[in-house]
Amino acid sequence: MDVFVSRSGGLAGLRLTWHVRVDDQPDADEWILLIEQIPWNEVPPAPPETDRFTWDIRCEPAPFETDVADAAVAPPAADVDAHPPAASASPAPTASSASPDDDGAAADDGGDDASEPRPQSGAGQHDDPLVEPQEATLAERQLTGPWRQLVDRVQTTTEPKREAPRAPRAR
Amino acid sequence: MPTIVPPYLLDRIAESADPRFPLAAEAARRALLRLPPARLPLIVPDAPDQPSALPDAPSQPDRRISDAEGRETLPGRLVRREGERATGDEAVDDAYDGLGDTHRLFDRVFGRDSIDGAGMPLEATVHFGRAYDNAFWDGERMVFGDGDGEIFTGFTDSLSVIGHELAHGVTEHTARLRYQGQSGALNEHVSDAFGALVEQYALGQDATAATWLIGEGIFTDAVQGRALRSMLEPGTAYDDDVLGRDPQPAHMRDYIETREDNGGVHLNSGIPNRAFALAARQIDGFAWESVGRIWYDTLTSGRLGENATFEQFAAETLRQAELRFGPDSLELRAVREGWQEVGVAVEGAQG
Repeated sequence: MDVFVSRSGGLAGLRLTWHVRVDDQPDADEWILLIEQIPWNEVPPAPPETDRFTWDIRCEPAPFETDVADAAVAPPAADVDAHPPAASASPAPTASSASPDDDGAAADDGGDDASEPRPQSGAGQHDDPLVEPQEATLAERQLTGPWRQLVDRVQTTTEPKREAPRAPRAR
Repeated sequence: MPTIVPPYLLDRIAESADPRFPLAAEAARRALLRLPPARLPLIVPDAPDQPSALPDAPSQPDRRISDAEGRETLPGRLVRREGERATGDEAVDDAYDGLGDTHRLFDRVFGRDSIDGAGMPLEATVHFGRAYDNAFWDGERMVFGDGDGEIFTGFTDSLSVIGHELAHGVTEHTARLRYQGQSGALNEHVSDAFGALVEQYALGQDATAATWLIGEGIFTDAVQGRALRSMLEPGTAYDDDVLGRDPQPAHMRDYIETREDNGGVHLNSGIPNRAFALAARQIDGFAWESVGRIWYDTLTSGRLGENATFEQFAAETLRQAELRFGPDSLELRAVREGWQEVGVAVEGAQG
C-alpha cells in the first residue's frame, strides 16, 4: 500500500508532497491499523480559511473493500449552499480531476512514484474494489484524530518534495 | 508628481507652527495634498472624508497580542495590550508594530477605523505551532508561525505579511469575496495589494521606489529568493533548488486550473497583482493615493458579488477610477491598461 499526502495553500502557496510505501516500513502493521481507523467517508464540511493549508491524503489501494457506489462522492454539505467543497472524500479521482500527485514523485523513491498511471474510477472500472484508492481533501482544521496521526507519521517517516502546483489544464 | 521628500517629513513641516517657515509649511501642505485640480475626486458617494498622506499621523488601534507558546491552540496567552511597553519578544513586538502600521494606513488614508470600520480590536497570536510555516486569518484574529528556521523565518518579520492578514479581515467585512477560484484569487490579491501599501506607507515609498514584493525577509539566507511573491513580476520572486520556482502566473493565458489551494488562490492572484502594480507605476506617486483608493472604493462599493470574476472586479475598478478621478484621468487610463496588460478583458468604465 502507498500513502500519498499533499499540502497546498498557506500564505506562501507552496505545494509539498510526501509518499510512503507502507509495505517497506518495519511497522507496516501499525500503519495499516491506523489507516483503517480513518473515516474516509465522514469528513465533515468546513468553510475554507484564508491562508490556511489544504491537505490531500490518499491511500492506494484502499485499506479495505470499498463500496464504490456508496462512496462515490456525496457532495459535502458545503456544496449544497453553493460554497466550495472545503472538505470532501472520494474513492478516486475522476478522469478530469487529477489526484494530488499526478505530477508528483515518491519521497522514499522505490521506483514506484506518484507520477505512475493509476486506476481511473470511471463507469465500468470497479470490478476490483480493492484497487480503488481512498482519498480525502481536508481543511487544516479538520486534520485531527487519525488523520493527524497519519500525517504526523508520514512526515516523520519521509522528507517532503516541494513541487509546482498541479495544473490539470491551463488556458 | 513624485516627491523626493518623504511624506512623514512633509507632514512634520506642514504641521510646523514655526513662524519662520510659513512658505515651507504651506508648500509641504500642498505637496501632501498632491492632487492637482484635474485629479480631484469628482463624485465620491458615501465615501468618508479621506485625508491625504500622513504616514506618521497617529491612529488609535486597540491591539491585543497573544502567545500560543508553540501550541496550535488559539488565542493563547495575552502578552501585550494596547499602550503597553515592548515585551522584548521580537514576534510579539513586530506583530504589535505591524498591526499599528496597518491600522494607520486604513484609518488615515481610507478613513476606516480597524477591520470593521468601527474600532474592532486587532487581535493576533504569535508563536503558533512548532516550526509552523504559515500565517493566516481565522475570521477573528491574525495568526503567525515562527517558520522552520531552514526556509522560513518568523512570519512577523514582514510588514507586508502582517498587512496581508489584516486585509483579509477587511475583505471579510466588506466584499466577502468567496475563497475559491477567481473570487478567491481576488481575495488574495486584495490582501497582497493592501499589504504592499501598508509597507509603502510606512516607508514613505512612491510606486517607483517600492519593491512590490510580498513577504520580503520571510526566507532564510539559505533560500535563493527575494520574497514570497512579486506583484510587479509574478513568477520571479524565488528560484531555489529546494523551494522550486515561483509558480505565479502574470497573465490570463497562464491561469492555473487546479483543485488544490482552493483553486489556486495563491497562484492566480499574480494576475490582478500585476495589473495593480502596473497601474500604480504608470500613475506614479504614492500608490495609496491612486490605485489604493480605487481598490478600496471597489472593495467597499457594495457592487461586487461574492463570486466576482477577474473581469467583474476589473470593471468595478474602472468605474470607481472614473468616479473618483474623472473620465479623462491618468488614473482611469492606467487602471484600464494594467488590466489589459495581464489579459483581463475590460471595456470603458461603466457608469
